[in-house]
Amino acid sequence: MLRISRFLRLPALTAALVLLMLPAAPSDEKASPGAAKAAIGKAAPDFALPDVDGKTVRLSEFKGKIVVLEWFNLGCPFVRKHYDSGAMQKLQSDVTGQGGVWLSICSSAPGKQGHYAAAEMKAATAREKAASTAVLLDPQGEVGRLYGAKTTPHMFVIAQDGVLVYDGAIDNIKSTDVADVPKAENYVRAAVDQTRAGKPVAKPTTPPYGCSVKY
Amino acid sequence: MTYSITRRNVVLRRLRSGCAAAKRLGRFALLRSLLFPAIFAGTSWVAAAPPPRVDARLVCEVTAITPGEAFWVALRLQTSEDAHVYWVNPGDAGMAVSIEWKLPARFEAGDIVWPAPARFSTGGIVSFGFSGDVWLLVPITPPADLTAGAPVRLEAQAHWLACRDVCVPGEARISVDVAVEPGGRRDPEWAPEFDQARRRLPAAMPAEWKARFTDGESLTLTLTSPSSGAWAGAKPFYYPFDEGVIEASAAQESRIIGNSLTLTLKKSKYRSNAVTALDGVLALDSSEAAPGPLRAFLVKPTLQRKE
Repeated sequence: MLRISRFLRLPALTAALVLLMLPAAPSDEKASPGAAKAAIGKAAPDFALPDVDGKTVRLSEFKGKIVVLEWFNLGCPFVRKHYDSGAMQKLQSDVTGQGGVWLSICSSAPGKQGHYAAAEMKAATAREKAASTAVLLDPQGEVGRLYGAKTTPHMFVIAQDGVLVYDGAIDNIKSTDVADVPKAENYVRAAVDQTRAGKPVAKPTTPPYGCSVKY
Repeated sequence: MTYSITRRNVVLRRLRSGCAAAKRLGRFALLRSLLFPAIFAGTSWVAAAPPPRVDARLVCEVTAITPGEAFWVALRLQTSEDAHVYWVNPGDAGMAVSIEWKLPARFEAGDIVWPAPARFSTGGIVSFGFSGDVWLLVPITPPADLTAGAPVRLEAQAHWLACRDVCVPGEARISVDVAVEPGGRRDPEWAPEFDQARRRLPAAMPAEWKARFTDGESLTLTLTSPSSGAWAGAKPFYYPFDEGVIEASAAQESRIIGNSLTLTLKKSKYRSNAVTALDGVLALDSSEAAPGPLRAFLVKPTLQRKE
């Protein structure tokens, strides 16, 4: 089992502290053989991460709801495109407004771009007017690696039954130009809409684009 | 940057007639990063290192152009230390350098002829690109009925993403004025750089080699040469031109059996349809950092269907 699964039994604050204090381990040690990695059509692997208030948020809490996972780094120009245009916040509020859950996850390691301590992250995402259900901190990158998050943004959609139905890019125009946002086909919006309508996702995987996740 | 010849007093030597009179409308492409103070403000990662920087210019190979005769122009990108820009297939993250040309009527620009890339690994995520003094060659063909006389201006908007531990997008509007007159020749000032840039291009695959690939659970690329000596001491790595075909971050297992070299390439999980073409660059001396491979070949393997 993944190391994080042990945190499920720990109080939230301790979990947050331990996550922040764990020394960086080589990546191959993190992918323990028993850990089922995220795969389309399979149950999305459960995880627990601290939010910006130190509260542990667990994916399995949201069974029965559509869940969007957003890997982000507020310093990455590709992420900036979607926040500066307001498109990401709009999509967040549209998804949560329709009963869905939006988890924004930052896997930047301490000292790397986009990494913030909890209080600073809370302030930074508030400045962005992010409308996520929760902003989660993954400074050890374990959940990022579990899902194979490669870029920021990198998006995942989980259906009401807990099955992963989308893994890929935010949209179909690979650029850092805000002017491209309204012209683009947003894959996440489509995947959420199709899932809500009980339809299969037409494009379940697309190559994600962006900055590398700063593990 | 073993292949670069730095010219620090280049601006002073620019003011000449003909092709070498490069005019730069945009110098350092820091503008956009300065427009994003929020990126750098209030974060705990703010370090002493400045953001990656790229200096862009156009350089023309000849002193004057001859109507109807193709000539070469280089987009020269000089990256700050440790920063890299991206190859046509950027790998698992990043974005390729691109050029939008604004040329006089009926001039035609070809595609960038890409040098062999190097690999850059950040946090285990691998991308393909270049660092240091980067020369991207583009052929331009002027119309045959062009009249000699006034110089013409070749203008381009170059776009790139420069990454180190942080990424900064950049763009520059750059131009070069070119004389139109008979007797144009290679500009001696830049000839060594153009020669060096051509040495960075992948060579045509030797005619006696055969290349084929199969598409299955993974992709296998097999090259066969008349002698096994072709692969001696090789540390091969294959760079497909198309994005999203292989997992750039995955190790490429190589085996030499007899006269054949076989590489096993992990297919991208984002690739749902069959792979029918796998053109790319085979680097035999590969490294994860600049300078890039020198023994590199253009490979167009044929698809071998499984029996």
